[in-house]
Amino acid sequence: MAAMPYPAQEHAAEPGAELWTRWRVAGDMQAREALLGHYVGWARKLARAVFMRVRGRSADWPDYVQNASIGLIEAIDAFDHRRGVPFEAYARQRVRGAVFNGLRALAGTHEVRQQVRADGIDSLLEETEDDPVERLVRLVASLGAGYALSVPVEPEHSSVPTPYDEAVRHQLSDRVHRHLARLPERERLVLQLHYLQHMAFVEIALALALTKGRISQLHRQGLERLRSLMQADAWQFVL
Amino acid sequence: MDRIRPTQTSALIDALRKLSRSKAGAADTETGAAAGDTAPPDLRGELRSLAAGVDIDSEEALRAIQPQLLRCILQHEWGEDVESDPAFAGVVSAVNEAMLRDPRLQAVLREALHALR
Repeated sequence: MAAMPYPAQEHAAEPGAELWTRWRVAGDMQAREALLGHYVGWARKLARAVFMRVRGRSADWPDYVQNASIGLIEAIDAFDHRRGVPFEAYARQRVRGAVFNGLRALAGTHEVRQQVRADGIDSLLEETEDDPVERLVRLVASLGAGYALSVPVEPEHSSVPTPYDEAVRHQLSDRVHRHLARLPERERLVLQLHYLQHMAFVEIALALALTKGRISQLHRQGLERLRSLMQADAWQFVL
Repeated sequence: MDRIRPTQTSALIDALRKLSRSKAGAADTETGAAAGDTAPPDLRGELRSLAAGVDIDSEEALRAIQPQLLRCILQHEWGEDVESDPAFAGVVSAVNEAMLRDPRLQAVLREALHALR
């Protein structure tokens, strides 16, 4: 399924200088992760603006967000908050530049996308489960939750959708994104970077300074938690 | 960190659903409908019904039944209302394609169907 732009979530107020100091001065990786989590939606929004401007093919959308994420990470690592320039003003051109640079290298990215897809499946297959039926159910539920995260929400319209159409179309996507926001920070970030920014586990591992194995574990845990939240929703309808 | 046990979770969901259906059945009886007649079976039972008569060793037969099995599982997980969401068909299709592409996932499906027999 080709993932399409998902409207970037409005992010909260700018993180304070304290977070930047913790990262830039003390090298606090948790502060870096918090900064990445804070700005990842903004980077996606920039990628979307480029995507719309160049009228990109929907099949290439994953590359746009992936390159925006790489630009964002580089900007976070290079930014010096003591100069008094707001981060978004500093990083905007870097993120956009990374997206445009990525456009030139779009040829040959099929293998990269295959790797991203394979990472998720490999991770889910690592989980052991004695009951074959339960194993299938869990696998399908996790794969489904992952795909629901990147469900297309902006299909091409020949007519203006009614409010009812909008409400129905966004139901599943809204549900899964609402639950994503409730996950522990690291699990949420890994799922965001993998399913919304289309980054391979090895890239996420580099960005978060963790091992690829740990990313795989966080990915699995995040999807399991997402699954149980989706199930809890289903109970509400039944009970 | 809490470890989520899917087997327990699925069993709990089935138990809650049965409970709610028995409540619904009781309500039906009060209004004159036959209790229990309309209660759908649990997920395992539904999968068993769908897979009945399918030749597990035939790739073609598996390919044909797979989307129905996936739809059944995801509806059970996410609630029956999800069927009305147009995005749901896209998710089922994406999971179906992923499973067809990867022989390891086909093996998981085959093992589950054997276990259901």
